Amino acid sequence: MVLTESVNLPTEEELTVQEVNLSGPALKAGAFHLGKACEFENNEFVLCRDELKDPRKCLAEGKAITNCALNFFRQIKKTCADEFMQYVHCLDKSSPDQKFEPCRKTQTVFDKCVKDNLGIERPPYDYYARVHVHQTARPRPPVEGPTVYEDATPGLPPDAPKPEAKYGSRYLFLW
Amino acid sequence: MHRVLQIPLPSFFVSCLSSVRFEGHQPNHQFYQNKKDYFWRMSSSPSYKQDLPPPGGYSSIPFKRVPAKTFFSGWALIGGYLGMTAGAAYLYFLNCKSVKATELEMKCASFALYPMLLAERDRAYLKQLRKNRDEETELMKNVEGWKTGTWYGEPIFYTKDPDSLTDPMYAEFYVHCSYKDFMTRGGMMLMS
Repeated sequence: MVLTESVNLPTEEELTVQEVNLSGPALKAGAFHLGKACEFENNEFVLCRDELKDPRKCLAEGKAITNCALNFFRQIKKTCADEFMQYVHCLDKSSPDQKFEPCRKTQTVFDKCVKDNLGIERPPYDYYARVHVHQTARPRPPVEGPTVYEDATPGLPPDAPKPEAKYGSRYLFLW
Repeated sequence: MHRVLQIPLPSFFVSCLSSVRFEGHQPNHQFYQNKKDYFWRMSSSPSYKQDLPPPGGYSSIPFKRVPAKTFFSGWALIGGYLGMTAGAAYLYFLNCKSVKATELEMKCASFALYPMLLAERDRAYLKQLRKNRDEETELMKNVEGWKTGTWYGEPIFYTKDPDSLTDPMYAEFYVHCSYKDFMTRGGMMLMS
């Protein structure tokens, strides 16, 4: 394999945390409220992944996300378990790809419960496709400049004379 | 009426032929102008009926053009076509909008879940990378001169930072798995 011993890989213990042990329909049912509840963590993690492009350097942010999602679903279970399960069943059984249309009624009930208990309002349907501004304390990664080669040919000095072409240039209609 | 045969033939033969010919009614071309006259002359009661127009004459021949009944004029048809098309385009626009909204909502649900799933995937991925590297070290420990991640000490990348994480190839990542798992994952990649 391409990985040598000099590559630092995190150990098994560092990587083992409690994962969100939920099925697809349950995740989808809570997706909109989850994204709103863990918005800062999500943005932080995705920004980290996008800037550093290395999964090893964003483990802490990833753990924060998983922790936030776990807390969110625990709260849901504590307060709106029935409404949530009804919505999940509807999403699961109504269509092969968990469409939202057939489940607007159960969704309304669930949304109302979440708003009453957790104070999270369901964002508009295109909220996560919009552009958002994220305020972060994360330092900007240094921008890597162009590669400089020591044996490259030295260019002309900036004040080198640039006389007109001695014999002009060809001209064929356009160039 | 008698016709004398000029052919010299034996006498018995002549009489025989003559009797046959005179018994039948052979037309005399000098007297009868055509065959029809000959027929009517021979009938016992010839009755003629002249074919004539019906009383009052024939009706006129209907040669005038009878065009189909027109419900709409040409301009009305064009206007109707444009109107129908405009109405249908509006309905299509409404439907399109709703379909796009549906797709966007599904996409947004995925976007909301994406960071959580990506974090989970990263951890599983790094775990598997470590397992693969340990497995390779264990497998090749008896091979002299073998260094993990290289070809007998010759690295794949020379100028890269030695700590940089290079994603292994798909087949390399699954090299210690069973062939079935390898192919299943490949099929899943195609399906998703």
